[in-house]
Amino acid sequence: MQRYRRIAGPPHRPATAAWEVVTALITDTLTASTQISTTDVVTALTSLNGLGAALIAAGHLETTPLVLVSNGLHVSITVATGADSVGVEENINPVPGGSTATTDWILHLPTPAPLRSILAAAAKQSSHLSTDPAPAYGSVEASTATAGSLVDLSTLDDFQVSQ
Amino acid sequence: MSSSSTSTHSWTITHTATHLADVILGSIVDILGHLGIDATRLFADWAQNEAAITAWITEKSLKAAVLECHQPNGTVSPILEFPVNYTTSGVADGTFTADRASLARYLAKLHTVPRGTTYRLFITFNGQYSDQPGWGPGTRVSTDGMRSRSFGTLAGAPHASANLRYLSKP
Repeated sequence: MQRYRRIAGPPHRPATAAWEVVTALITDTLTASTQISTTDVVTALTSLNGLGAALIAAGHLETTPLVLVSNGLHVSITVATGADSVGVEENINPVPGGSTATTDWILHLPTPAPLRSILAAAAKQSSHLSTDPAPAYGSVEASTATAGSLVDLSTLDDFQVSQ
Repeated sequence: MSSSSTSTHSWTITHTATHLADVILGSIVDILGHLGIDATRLFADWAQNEAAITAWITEKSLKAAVLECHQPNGTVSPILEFPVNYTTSGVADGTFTADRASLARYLAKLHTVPRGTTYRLFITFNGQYSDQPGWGPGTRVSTDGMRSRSFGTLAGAPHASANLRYLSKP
């Protein structure tokens, strides 16, 4: 399920507070799944303390999103700042589809040039963080559908050949 | 039940301070990253610095934020100053701006500094100011003889604006 969330940053609220809203959104979404605990999510996001607020303050989440991906869940999160934060309609409820999330969830981080190395270092501290580009929504769905299919598609190929 | 909010506000000096504090700190992060200086300490102290700078701009005591780059050989260069100018009328045009695109182009022209260069942050004041956690007295290095270049206005807000000035050894 592909979803988008836009959070209001400074001057609506300080970057630190905006990052807390982002982490709460991610945590509340993932912990709707019985497979994922709050501790797991908080631990994974610890290495982004301070760094997340810096990303917001520097405007790096204005247009390039954080992307949360797990088992069909595909959530893009941006943070508006300055004049753009005026009029943002926030939806900070857990994202629908979170209950299907699995323990292999990944939060894909943007990699603005000035922060590339520090973000890469932060990502190395958790298997749930990545600086690789997020997979396109369709490709995630396709791979999930193939992996989880009850039908062995290769047998259909055999069937067509035998005809 | 769905919870949503729309940010329609009457902007206060606190909003101005929040905006300018985060633009200044966000710019410092990008500058340090561009120069290749380890900013780990800045991330660790982020909330504390953000709160302090916001408080000082709110009380209009903050004159300038200053970033000094200390090279291993003792040279202090470059120095980046973020002077804040307050409007006398209280409320200006009510817009919040940040010229990050120009800053990115400006940074691209700067040279990196030697490995091992560290940084120090200073705040200078207009008269009296409140104490803030994590901050204490300090002494800036002299900028005599340094070459100064103005970036112009970095950020604007209803009650104040922040500029950027770059100083380097000739």
